[in-house]
Amino acid sequence: MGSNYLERVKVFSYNLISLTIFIILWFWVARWQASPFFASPAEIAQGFMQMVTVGDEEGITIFMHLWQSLIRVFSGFGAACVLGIPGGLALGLFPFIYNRTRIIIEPLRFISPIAWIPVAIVLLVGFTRYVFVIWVASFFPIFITTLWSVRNVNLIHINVARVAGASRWFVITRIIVPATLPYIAGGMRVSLGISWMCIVAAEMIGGEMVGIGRLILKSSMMHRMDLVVVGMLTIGILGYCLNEVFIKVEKRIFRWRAAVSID
Amino acid sequence: MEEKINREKYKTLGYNVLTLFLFLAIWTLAYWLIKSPFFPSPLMVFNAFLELLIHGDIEDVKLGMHIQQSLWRIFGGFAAACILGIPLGLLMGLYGRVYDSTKVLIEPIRFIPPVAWIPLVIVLLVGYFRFVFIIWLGAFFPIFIGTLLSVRGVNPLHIEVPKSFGASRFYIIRNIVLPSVLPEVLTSMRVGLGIAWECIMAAEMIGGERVGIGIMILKYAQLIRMDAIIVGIIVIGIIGFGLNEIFIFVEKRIFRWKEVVSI
Amino acid sequence: MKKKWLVLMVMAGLIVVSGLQPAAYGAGKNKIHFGYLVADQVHNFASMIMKEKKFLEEEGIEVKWGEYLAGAYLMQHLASGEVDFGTCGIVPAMITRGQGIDVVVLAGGNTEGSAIVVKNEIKTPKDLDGKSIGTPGIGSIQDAMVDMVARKYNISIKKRQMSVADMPIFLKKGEIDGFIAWAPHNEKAEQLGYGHIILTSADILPGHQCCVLVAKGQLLKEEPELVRKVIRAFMKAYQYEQKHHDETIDLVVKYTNTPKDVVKKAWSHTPHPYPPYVNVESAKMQADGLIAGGKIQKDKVKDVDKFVAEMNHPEFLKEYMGKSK
Repeated sequence: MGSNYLERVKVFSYNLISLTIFIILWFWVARWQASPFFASPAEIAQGFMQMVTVGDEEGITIFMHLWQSLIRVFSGFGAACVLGIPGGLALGLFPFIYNRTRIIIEPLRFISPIAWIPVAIVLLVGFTRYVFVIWVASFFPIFITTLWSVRNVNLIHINVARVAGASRWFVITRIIVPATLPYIAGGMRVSLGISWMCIVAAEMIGGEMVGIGRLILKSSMMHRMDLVVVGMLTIGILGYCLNEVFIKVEKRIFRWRAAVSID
Repeated sequence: MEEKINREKYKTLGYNVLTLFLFLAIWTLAYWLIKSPFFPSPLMVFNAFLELLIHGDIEDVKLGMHIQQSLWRIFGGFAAACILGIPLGLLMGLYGRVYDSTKVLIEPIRFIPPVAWIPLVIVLLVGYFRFVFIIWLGAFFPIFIGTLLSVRGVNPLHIEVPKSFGASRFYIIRNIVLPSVLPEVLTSMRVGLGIAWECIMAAEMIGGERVGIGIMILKYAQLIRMDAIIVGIIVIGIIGFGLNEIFIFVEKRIFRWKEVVSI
Repeated sequence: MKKKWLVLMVMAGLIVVSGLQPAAYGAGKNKIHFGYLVADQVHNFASMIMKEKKFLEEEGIEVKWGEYLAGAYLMQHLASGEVDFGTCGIVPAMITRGQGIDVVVLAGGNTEGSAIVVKNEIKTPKDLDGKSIGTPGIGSIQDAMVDMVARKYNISIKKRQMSVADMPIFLKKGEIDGFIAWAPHNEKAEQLGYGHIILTSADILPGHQCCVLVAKGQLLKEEPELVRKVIRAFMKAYQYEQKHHDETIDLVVKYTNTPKDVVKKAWSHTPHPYPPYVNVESAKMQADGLIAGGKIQKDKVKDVDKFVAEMNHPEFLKEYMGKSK
């Protein structure tokens, strides 16, 4: 117990040291650049304070930006889960469907969400655009992980149940779904990270004032580099936190299984 | 047996072609129903494709040139990600403390989307390196984290046994850790390549260049020419798919002894 | 366990469904979606003043403001039906109309107001031969002006599309030899010492129309009263500027994050004619240029005079001016 505590303090202080080194490095880069288009750590801190207290030039604080973005991300992510998990289960159970439609599904995976934006702008309207762009990015990780986890369920478990006279429905609900849940949860976590990272791409869709991605895009148009960096750091830190929280939840739910890992 | 497998293959191929035709038929039907200037029919998209292929785009750059330029950028970014990601992943996997001590930096940076870096990249870097950096950002983390985890996942028994026989650290790394992580490193390279290709749109938002498949999409988005935009989207999807398939083929050849190569 | 997942999925589904309500804007019921461009207030000060002083609300209109990075993006949103009114360049509007979308011009905004900034070594327009010039995008009025310069001086210019905000950086690093942007970005770069203005758009095409007030075409027939109200608010903004010029400049400083002296200089390069009728002759010349450059497909616009005449609807502005006399 004692050594564990010591270890934690040690890791914490090492992290603090690397953070300090990073900030000093940033400071030197800012000195060396001496450009009106690059912000020093002090300016970034000031920009952050401004965003927390007054907000940007429209008076929108960072919390309002974040809140709006989170709503968009979770809607897209929700849509991806709603479609990806049942879709993955279905195509995992009936692999021939996947094999026969591969020619359509596979190329879609590699199209970046940003490429969809012009199409989304013209064909969709309002909030649905954000949902669509984030969905495009986060659907495939969930879908493919679910599909593969179904295929990788231990055949013996299924056959034993079958031999004992279990119905198809029983096999699916009692064997396949529980066995795939940890993988699905892992896929959901990866997807959530990707959805969150998509927020800047999604908010390239114009027409809104609020959103953390909007803040970055707009501030760069107005040469407010400090606010650009504030936006970037906020996205990074929040993404990290979401991931950590998800890992904690996963670990709690699947305590019987120790395969939860960082990516 | 062989014959049966072959027949199965042709059947799957046939169904895939059928799906493709079905998809095109639905698309055409949707075109007739929607009748919007933004919803081109497959035929219009094909015409735009021929036009782009033979005559080039509005600035007389041919589609082949766009693709070539984008592939060249991807190659640079992907190579940089491999060169940095694999050794760093090995290092941090072997010396867990390094990763734990810098987690506070690495983890949040993972969640900052490549697009958000563009304003900073424009200030700090020049020309081709900007593209390389953005793509590197996308591809680095999957490769790095994949390698790191694969090192951590090496069976401790395989390490402890030679150790007790007096094997040196170097011997263990070279003869035990490296061979056992290689398949997983290649898989994470493939994932990294896919993400690098997805980042091409983000990278080509940088501006200042006329050639590149993402730039082509952006150009036609400004002119609201949906047919050409869709050509770009399809080309991105097919090239991503092709790269992935080639990589899987290579993986399967190299690691014929290991049956874990999956999509 | 299974129930938990079911509940989770149902919740996620509910979130999605609650999100799927399309933007409830659109003509009718005095609700509009008005688009304007980021950091473009030297040109389109009117939308800024309407927004700040709530002139549209005074007319009883409920307005949702949307900001866009460039005119082409605003036009995409107008084409999709989301944006009802907006202020942006006439060129993106013409390109969009060339694609068969019913966008109309209700009034003009500023004329001229763009300029080519080049590095200090370049002295005359002839020196631009073979040089690379940054433009804000292939569908922009500025891109079309570079084409005009190339034709006028019979030289070839390499165009490099990029965001206006990045142009000074590219210029400073020597990656481009110059750029063309809308005010105040040119003056900003000049003030930073990165280059000097070699040609203003007054030199390229004197008195040319730059920005316009655009609207969805169907509104003219379906909601003429709404259009009248918007015109009234738009003209109020013009009258406000005439009375409170200094305050307008201060607002532009805030909206564009540009020093005041730079804004003032930019303003002096940007005429805002009153009453703001569209300069039809320059619009025709620009349309010709767009067709020659392939940006509007030849087979889609056969008669330029007719094309511009159908697009330009000054009757609401005329009606307003008639009444105000």
